Amino acid sequence: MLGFADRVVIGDTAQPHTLEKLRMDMELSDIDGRVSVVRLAGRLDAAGAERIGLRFTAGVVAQARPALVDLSGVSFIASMGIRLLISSAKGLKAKGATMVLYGAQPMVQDVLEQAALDQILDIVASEADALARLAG
Amino acid sequence: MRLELPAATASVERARRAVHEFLAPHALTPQQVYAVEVVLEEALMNIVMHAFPKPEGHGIELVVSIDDEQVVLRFEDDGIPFDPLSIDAPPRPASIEQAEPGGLGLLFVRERSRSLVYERRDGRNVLTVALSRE
Repeated sequence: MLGFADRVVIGDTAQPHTLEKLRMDMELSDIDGRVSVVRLAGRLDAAGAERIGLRFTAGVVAQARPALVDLSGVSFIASMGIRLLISSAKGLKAKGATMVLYGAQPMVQDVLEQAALDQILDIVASEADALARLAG
Repeated sequence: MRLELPAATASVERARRAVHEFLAPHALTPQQVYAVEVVLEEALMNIVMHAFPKPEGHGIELVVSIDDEQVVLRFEDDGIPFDPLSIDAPPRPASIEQAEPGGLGLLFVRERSRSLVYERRDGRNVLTVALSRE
């Protein structure tokens, strides 16, 4: 397994597994200090994007290094969530680094593709694929 | 069902729960539920963000109905006249540098609706979105 240093857990973590996670959570870590890893869980709707926006931007853009974003825990995304991903990817690109999204659930993936995000960002299935994409 | 909501972000979650409860007996597919949620989120946030220079004291009326063929969501507000259908979809960006974050909400609603109608009626914005159950 990858070594996660600098692990920060934000938000409520004691949700019953049977219920859909409503509040957006974000967990920030890194791989050997070279790659940022952001795991998102919950609904990335307007309220969710508002809730994590500043921390997401700080965790991704301010680090100025490649970033992997794990969407596997995201049950819903719409335009405000996409806006956060685009603005952060754009900010990171301006610093010379790329952002890779992975693990999106099918209905979330549909929304990403409708927004044509798959045309301008790497969107892959797994963390291993995401790491391979960064390496390639 | 009919719901009066304050013009605030928190209204989206309130509406979502009420609409879920209302639609529960009708056994929609997960894709249909997701589509309803996208429409709720985008239409309500559009009103919250654009309809009122000062949202305090203003409300949104949401009416939802369902039959065998479709789910219809009607959004009404007394904000400034604004036809969301007059806004063009953002151009498809060729690169992340060119991407403009925004303008996608209406695109998502269009993609999921079988009909989408805007009217300015008695000083109110009325947006009616019908989603197919097929």
